Amino acid sequence: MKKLLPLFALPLLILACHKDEPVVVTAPKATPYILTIPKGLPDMTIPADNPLTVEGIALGRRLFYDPILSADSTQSCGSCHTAAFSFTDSARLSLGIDHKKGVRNAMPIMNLGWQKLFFWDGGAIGLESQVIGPITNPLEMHDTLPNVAIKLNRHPEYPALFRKAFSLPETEKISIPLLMRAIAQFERTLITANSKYDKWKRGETTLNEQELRGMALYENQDEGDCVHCHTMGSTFSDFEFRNNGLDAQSADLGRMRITLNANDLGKFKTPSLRNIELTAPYMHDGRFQTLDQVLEHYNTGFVISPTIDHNLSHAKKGRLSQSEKDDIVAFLKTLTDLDFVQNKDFQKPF
Amino acid sequence: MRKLLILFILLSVISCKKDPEVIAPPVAPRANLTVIFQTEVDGKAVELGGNTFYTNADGNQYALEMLKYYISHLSLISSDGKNDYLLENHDLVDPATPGSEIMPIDTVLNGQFDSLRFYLGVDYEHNHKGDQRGDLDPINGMIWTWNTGYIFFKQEGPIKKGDGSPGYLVYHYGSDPALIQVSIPLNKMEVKGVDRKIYIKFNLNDLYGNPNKVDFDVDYFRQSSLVSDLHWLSQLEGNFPGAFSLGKIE
Repeated sequence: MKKLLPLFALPLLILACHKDEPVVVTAPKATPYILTIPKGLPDMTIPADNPLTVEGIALGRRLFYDPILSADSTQSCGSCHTAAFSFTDSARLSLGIDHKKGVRNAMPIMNLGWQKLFFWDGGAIGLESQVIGPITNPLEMHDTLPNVAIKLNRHPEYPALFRKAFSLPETEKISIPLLMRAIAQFERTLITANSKYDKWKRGETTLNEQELRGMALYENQDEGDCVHCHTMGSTFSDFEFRNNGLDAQSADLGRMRITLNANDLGKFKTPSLRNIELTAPYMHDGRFQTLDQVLEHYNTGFVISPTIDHNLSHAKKGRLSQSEKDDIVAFLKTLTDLDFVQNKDFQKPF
Repeated sequence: MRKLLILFILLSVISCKKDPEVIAPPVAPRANLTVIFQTEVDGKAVELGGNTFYTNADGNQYALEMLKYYISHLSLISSDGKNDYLLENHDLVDPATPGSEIMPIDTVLNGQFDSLRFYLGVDYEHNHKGDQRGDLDPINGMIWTWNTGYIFFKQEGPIKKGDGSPGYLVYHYGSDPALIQVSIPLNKMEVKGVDRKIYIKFNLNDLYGNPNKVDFDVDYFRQSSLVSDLHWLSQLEGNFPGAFSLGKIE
């Protein structure tokens, strides 16, 4: 940031030298923001038409926590995506503004800049695109986009904040695409990479024996075999769509809702296991309360169906003992990043 | 210095002199074209408001409260293949918004043209991005907020079912494979320096009856999102190209 200051100071100096000249008022330029990618995470691709700016991120953060985006101004994105729970809400299914339950468990918001498809079924193609889903969903914030645009344009502060964030002239109105871009900017900054596991990888700490045993079981294809889908290392997900054997006949179409392909019935996006200790309950419908229940599902509980993932259909039931499951849970808890959930920059700004 | 001043005055005088009259060429080398989409039912312009009932080929009665569709990549194909005009447009035609049906193709060089091509819908690249301005702005209500992509064609309004009971029709047509290419023969249309208008008719009763008869009693709520929508989708895919035809060229 410091390097940028002289560049911004330059036009001011020039203006100061021409006191008699009329000053042409142009749109103020937003301040570019350089996102620091922590060691161990891959480079993030940021859309060329939505570069990060200091003002854009701040605006996105404010909008994320502002209930103005719901029809009756009672709920914000942050209502169901709370920092303390790695941006989930700990409910099995969240309640929308009409006190109706959603149909799927709220997903954590973290490291989204590396994902390509959003929602459990991959229905949204980009981080910008997914923004309008919860705002307009009748089971969630239940507003309309024209109404949201009217509210934002009438607001005493938002028009100026949008103009500043996107370097717009005075005459420009707030549009929905800009709302989508601002929130996406904020969400790209929600990076978690400082768990005990990350510190161990960087040589800053040690894992205890149980955690190391759990990691070995996680990676062992004849034991835990978690690693096939929850890729080891940076993301802890392959972000593919898989049927993990929850039901013989899935009541939720899953990925098939988007592709209309019967082979996708009951398939959902592999969630990342980062901060998994904080994001209970688990699965797309929040049916499991504890990590032990989740592991028991993969150990003995999974049911065979035509679209079940082949990694699971070939797994031997009862392959894990209770102590082995405990070891895996101990390893999973090393993925908890308290710096992330306590980061003030990610929390409600007002 | 003095000589220079005289020269300057002389030049000024000369430049003030009237130019000799030139005879205008008989034909300008180019002209502007305008393509106009006329949304109609069997020759009559559609009426929104939900009170005017039309009858489709299957005998279903329907009225319109909302009707919008995207026309993209309008292309004018020349007879010699050297003078094609390929627009990158995505225009939302909405009879409730006068002017939305007019699409200009500016400065077309004189020549002969065989056909007008366009797509009903949104191309893959634009269909996979939501934060777009203009006619693709999500505020137009033509994007699925829970799914990938835009609604290519949207019709909503009351219907009268076969037994006379009232119903409501919701058609949201779209998805990548449902993009429709349409080609309208222009019968070697000549452009000779004079602006022209090409009127394209879009007949809803052809969309619902030619060649596939769509039954509103069965298919009244379709959002291109269920396996059970596939039959309806394929029926409309088959009908869309023939629902557009050349009205007139002025």
